[in-house]
Amino acid sequence: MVTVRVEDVSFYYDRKKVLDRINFTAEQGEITAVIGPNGAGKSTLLKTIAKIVQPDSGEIFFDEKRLSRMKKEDVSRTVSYLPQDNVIPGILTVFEVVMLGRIPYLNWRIGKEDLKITVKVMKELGIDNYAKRYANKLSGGERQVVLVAQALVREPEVLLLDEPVSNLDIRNKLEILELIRKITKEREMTTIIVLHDLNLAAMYADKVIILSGGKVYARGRPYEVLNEDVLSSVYGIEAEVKRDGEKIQVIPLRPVKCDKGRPF
Amino acid sequence: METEYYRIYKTVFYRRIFFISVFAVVCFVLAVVDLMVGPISAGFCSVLINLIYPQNETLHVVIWDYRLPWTLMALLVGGALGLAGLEMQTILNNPLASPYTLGISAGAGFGAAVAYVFGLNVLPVPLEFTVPVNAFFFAFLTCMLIMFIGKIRGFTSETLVLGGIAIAFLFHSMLALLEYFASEETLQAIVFWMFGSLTKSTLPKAQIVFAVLAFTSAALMSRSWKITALRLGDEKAKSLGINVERMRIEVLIYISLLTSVAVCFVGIIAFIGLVAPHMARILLGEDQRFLIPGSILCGAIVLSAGAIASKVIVPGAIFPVGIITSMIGVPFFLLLVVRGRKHIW
Amino acid sequence: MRKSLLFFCLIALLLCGCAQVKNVAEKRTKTITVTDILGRTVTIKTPVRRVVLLYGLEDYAAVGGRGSLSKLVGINAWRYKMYRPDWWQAWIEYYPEIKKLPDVGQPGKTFQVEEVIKLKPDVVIADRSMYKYMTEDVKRLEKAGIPVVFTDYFPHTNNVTELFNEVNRSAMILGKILNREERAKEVVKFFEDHVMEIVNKTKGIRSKPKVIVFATWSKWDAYGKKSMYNFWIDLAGGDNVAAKVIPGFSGDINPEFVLKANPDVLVFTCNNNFPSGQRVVIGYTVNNSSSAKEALKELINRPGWNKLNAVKDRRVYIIHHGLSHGHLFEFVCLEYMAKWLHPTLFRNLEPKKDLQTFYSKFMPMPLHGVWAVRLGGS
Repeated sequence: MVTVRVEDVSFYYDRKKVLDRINFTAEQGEITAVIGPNGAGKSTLLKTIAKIVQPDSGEIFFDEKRLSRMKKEDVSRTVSYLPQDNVIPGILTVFEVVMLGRIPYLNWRIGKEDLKITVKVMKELGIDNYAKRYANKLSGGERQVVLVAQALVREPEVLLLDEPVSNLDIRNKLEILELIRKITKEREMTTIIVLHDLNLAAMYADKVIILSGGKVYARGRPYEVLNEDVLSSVYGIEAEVKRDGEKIQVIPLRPVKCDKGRPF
Repeated sequence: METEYYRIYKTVFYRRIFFISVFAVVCFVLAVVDLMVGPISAGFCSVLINLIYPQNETLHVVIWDYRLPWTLMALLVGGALGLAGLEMQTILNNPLASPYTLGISAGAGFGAAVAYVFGLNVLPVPLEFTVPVNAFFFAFLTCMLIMFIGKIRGFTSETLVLGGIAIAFLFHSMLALLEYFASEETLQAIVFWMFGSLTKSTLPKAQIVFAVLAFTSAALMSRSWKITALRLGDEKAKSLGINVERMRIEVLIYISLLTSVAVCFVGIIAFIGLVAPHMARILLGEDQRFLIPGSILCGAIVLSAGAIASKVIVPGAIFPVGIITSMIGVPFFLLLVVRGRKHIW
Repeated sequence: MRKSLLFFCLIALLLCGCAQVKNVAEKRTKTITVTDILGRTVTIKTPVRRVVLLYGLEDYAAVGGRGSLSKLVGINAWRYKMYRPDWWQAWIEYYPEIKKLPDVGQPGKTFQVEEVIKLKPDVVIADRSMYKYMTEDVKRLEKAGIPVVFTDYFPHTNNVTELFNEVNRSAMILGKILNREERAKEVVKFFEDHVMEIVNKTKGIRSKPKVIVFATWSKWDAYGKKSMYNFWIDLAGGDNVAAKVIPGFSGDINPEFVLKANPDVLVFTCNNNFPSGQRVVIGYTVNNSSSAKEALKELINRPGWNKLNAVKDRRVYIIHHGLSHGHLFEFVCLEYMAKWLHPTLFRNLEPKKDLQTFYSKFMPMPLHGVWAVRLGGS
């Protein structure tokens, strides 16, 4: 199992600085939530960790291994990345969709190991009973579970999820995050998850990284980091944060009126 | 546990294998029928005998010099177009793509027209091959132009499709310009060439198509998981360790080879490249390991059926096969689309 | 856009040409009325001084004589250059002024109605096949006071009377327009006599040799039931076996069918430009038959053809496509067919000589070139 250490990572897109000297560490067996307003660089950050984009400076370490020196194939066996927009090709059974997550391991002839793991993961996530259904017949919630399963069959050490619950109803949101937490603990994975819902982040994340304008604005335990001032300066909102021991609850009230537009 | 995962595997995978076997059987039957159909009537046995040794000299010539090349060419060109269409749809992530989407047909047509109008050929080859060689050259040139555009603008499907459309229009207008200055006979020759017809088949040509099809399908089969991954979206594919751009270029080169070689020998046979992959996909799913042979077989089936029909509709004459493939293929395709309970993309 | 342009042209024409037109009109009060091949009644001012010719310079000259060439003010040079380059070569060699005439273009392709209106012709002469491409243009021309007549020499059905009727009508239209009706009658008589000479001899023939006529621009394209070749073969006492399987004008024939039918005679047709290799093998500008023989050797080099009667007997021919249809000397094609199909019966028939006679009698230029070639002995 690995610890992901992001050191001084910067990334430019069309000469615009998207990531500006990012530093943080994501521990194994923990969920690290990346939060922040739209355009703060959250997705880009995940992509740099998945080695889909190369940072312009800085380095990412998986334990002591430098990501920039790892082969793409090796990265793909260590890291599972679930992007924001997912395509599930129409004419595949759920079983096959899940199995596609093992592409880095698959030989032309599918091995027993691959089948075993696929079925095991599907059972764990409780989708084995519709293995033979076609994936495009699934509801939004089921779909998302299938995609999580697809990410898990690779048996990754690092799981990167980009807004995995945005389009789901509240029960599905809770169920999937519950599931992710459970698996993260069981498998001692390093899970980094981009979330928009601050309350969900507060509920499920062990650690929160707040990005703002490409920079890490704050990081730490949710109850340490999330407070009225941070929300006001990062999101430009007036909010009430209720605390009950380590549990916190964010109640957004209104956007802060600001002459210069948004505060960042 | 052991038995259970094996059970799911079996039901999902053996269904695919079953369909492929059905395709293969249909293909074989059509090929045999194709060999037997013709103005000179011959039973199954005499066809078989004369295939091996010249028992009846005329029949021997007919079978070896006309029927066999046509039958093989129908299978191979159909297969090549089916495969090219499949991969074009896959790398462009677009169900409407076909081997001709990137203007390859227009390029090939222009090349043929150049050969006819100016008598120009890019390589010193025998007269029979000047037109195919030119067509191939320009078809391939078209692909290289697309590559060039992709190189500058990134190999996204949008760039390729839009670039392809632009280049297709360019070649179409250049072709129209050539036709404008062509003599009566040259014009006829160009129009006829463009029409798509198996009458130009010979065994050496069939061998060339076979070699290209064998090579490309082997190459694509060995990359089947990577190509399948492309269907999951660029980012997912990248996270699966696949160099998406390089994959696209590689596959595009195979498509170019397949399409150019198919087009240059028989002219433009539309529709197969669009529909054969869909027929295969509806029955086989997205797994390229099955889809590649499936699309080849479906393409071969459609063109073989067309070849038979082209001989049968007016016995003694040859009906243009390009027209027939659409007439046979469209109803069948629509049946699959309308009646099928599955999605088609 | 086009309409307004036309309108503008008309106004311009009216304003600028008023005095001139009046001047001419005073002298030319007489008009003639002709019914063209489409049954349209067309009124033309006579004497005709300005002609725009879209088709059939040969027939025009045959009826009108050398003098009629000076009446030409515009010509469809495009068609000549593209379809009959050797004939065009001949015309501009003997009559360089034809080269300077404005090219009004081919209907359906490059036709420029404004150019025609600008030329202020007394009449426009076109072929029946062009009508469908210029229906609207004909209306425009008529509005501008320019009559259009259509002629047609193409054999449309297997009926000699009908062909004679159409050829006669077409030639007489030219005769009337050019005021050379006697000459027109003479040409038609020459045509009819030569056709009848063949028909009278082949009428009773029972054994009809099998023949297939191939185009050279596509390997297996044969002329079918509705083609002029079928008509000529029929009159020449032959059996165009391709007509059985190709109901239309032409189409791909199954190569096996050729082997099965085993024709006694094979004919290839091409124009001045042979499609593959862009060689000139036949036509007005060709001096010897060697390249045509080479082409024929290539053309018959197909699997199984050495077994065909036609190939074994070397009864394989190539003929200039321009002889076969559309002109007053198309009887020459019939003569060739007759001679090739029944060599003994027509031992004394010399089609080339008859073409020569036609030229010396009616055409304002001598005949040159190679028009039909036999494969020749091995």
